Amino acid sequence: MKPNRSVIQSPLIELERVGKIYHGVTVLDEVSMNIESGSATAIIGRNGSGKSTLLSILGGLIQISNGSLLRKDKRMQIGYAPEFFPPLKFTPEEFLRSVGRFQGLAPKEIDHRITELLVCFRLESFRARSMESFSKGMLQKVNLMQSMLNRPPLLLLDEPMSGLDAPAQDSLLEFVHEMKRQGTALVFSAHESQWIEALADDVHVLHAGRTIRTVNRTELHSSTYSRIVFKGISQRPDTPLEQMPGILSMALSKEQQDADCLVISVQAAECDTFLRTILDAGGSIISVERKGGLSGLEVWMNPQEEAFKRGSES
Amino acid sequence: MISLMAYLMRSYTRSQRYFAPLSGMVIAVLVLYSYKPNPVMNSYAATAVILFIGCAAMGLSFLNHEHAVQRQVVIVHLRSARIYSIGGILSLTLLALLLDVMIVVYPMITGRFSEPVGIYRFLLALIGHGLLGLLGISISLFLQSSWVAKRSHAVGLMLAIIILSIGGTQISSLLKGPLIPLRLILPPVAPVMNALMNGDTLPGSSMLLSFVHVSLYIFLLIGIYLFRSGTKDYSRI
Repeated sequence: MKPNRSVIQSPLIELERVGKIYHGVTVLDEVSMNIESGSATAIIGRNGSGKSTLLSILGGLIQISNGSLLRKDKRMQIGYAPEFFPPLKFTPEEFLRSVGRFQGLAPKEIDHRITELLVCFRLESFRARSMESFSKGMLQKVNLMQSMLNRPPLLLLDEPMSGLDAPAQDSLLEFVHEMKRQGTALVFSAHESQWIEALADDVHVLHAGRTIRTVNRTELHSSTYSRIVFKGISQRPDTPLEQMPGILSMALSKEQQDADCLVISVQAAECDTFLRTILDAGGSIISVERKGGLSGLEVWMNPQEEAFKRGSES
Repeated sequence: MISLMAYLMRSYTRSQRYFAPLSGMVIAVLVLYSYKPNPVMNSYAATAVILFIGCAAMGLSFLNHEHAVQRQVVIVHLRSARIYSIGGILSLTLLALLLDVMIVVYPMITGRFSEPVGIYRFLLALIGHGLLGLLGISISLFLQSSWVAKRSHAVGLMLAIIILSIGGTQISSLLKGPLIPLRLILPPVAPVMNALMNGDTLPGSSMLLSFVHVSLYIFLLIGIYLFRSGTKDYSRI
């Protein structure tokens, strides 16, 4: 039986062992990924890990040094919001109008879309002011607006939350969600776990230009749980731990030397209740770990927080 | 393409980077015609060289006026770095042709010449100025900051090329034997300058040969530039 063409869709972009070498320095090495319509791919990693280079390659701005890059449509419209947007000597309206013309939009459509975006990002009162005097957050809003003007099939966002206030972050998330529902493929770099959890279907962790881990949508959206290792319960709790709501498993700890060390896995939402119960019963907590979802990836998402933690530990 | 050119022109004029090369050209032409009467074709040869230098400087300022990120964003929207490059070249060509007409017409309408110019000499002057203006722009394409990272190196290279171009006749006479092919590398400013100076006496075929020579040189430079601009990286630096 012949496969149904409308059902089997090829990816918008296929990267196969892609690498980039700048002046003899490898900045990206053997990165592979497929970008499909309506999917959201998060790229996380520390500064200099190759996130921006990868987005520039997807945007067609940087040529690959090795590997292969296949585009479904070579003239595909791409929206690209770089990490930093310069203060141009244009008003937002002038710049967005030019962008609309480059994309061949009709004047009425450009007007409608500009107004819609300015309202969404609460920038209507600045539509005719030169961007030279704009703050970082305002420039970031214009940056995002130019990338979304034509509802492109592929949207590349390099740290889109950077500089945005809370209402703008909410508006952006809502707007991007809507575009994703309508079939836009998203590839974004971010340090904010709530953005990744809310939006991403896949996560690629980059370190020194290499993909060191990928998390697929099943793993990402699996329920998170906590693993508590404890010992020394002297009094029996009113309700035994194994009968408390939220318990997933209970066993003797194999990792600890003490024979009375126990390890329990509990639903993340019930973790505090279990900890309180163990402490009230005279027990002592040896370790608590969050598992599933994005747990274990925080170190790649919040490098500043991690540096702060390490500093305070030392 | 028209929307791209309009955008680039607006961006360039707002950057005010045009001021130095434009004012340099205006001052040089005004000084040249500060007294009268002037010989027609000798004056046109001199102003054509002024336009060549001015267009090279203007080309460099035009190609460097945009922020690298601004250029990245525009290239992504156009879906082609080559289209972006063509838009830049066409915008600069338009500016060069405007200056060409202004520089050729100015001495005629202000009565700076010793005799009437006539249609033949007017056309020769327009073509000669236009070609040298385009030659200046073609050279500047390779000296923009995305090609030559250090600004001081780019300016130094441009001055060296201008000197080699204007002194082309003398330098060519020094290149003998196996070095003769090197004459072809020299930007052909001197042949056009000579053709304009001797426009009244030179046969039409010799004149045509000079213009074809410089036209081929311009096409070659622009062709190499466009080919390379489609395969190079556009980083944010």
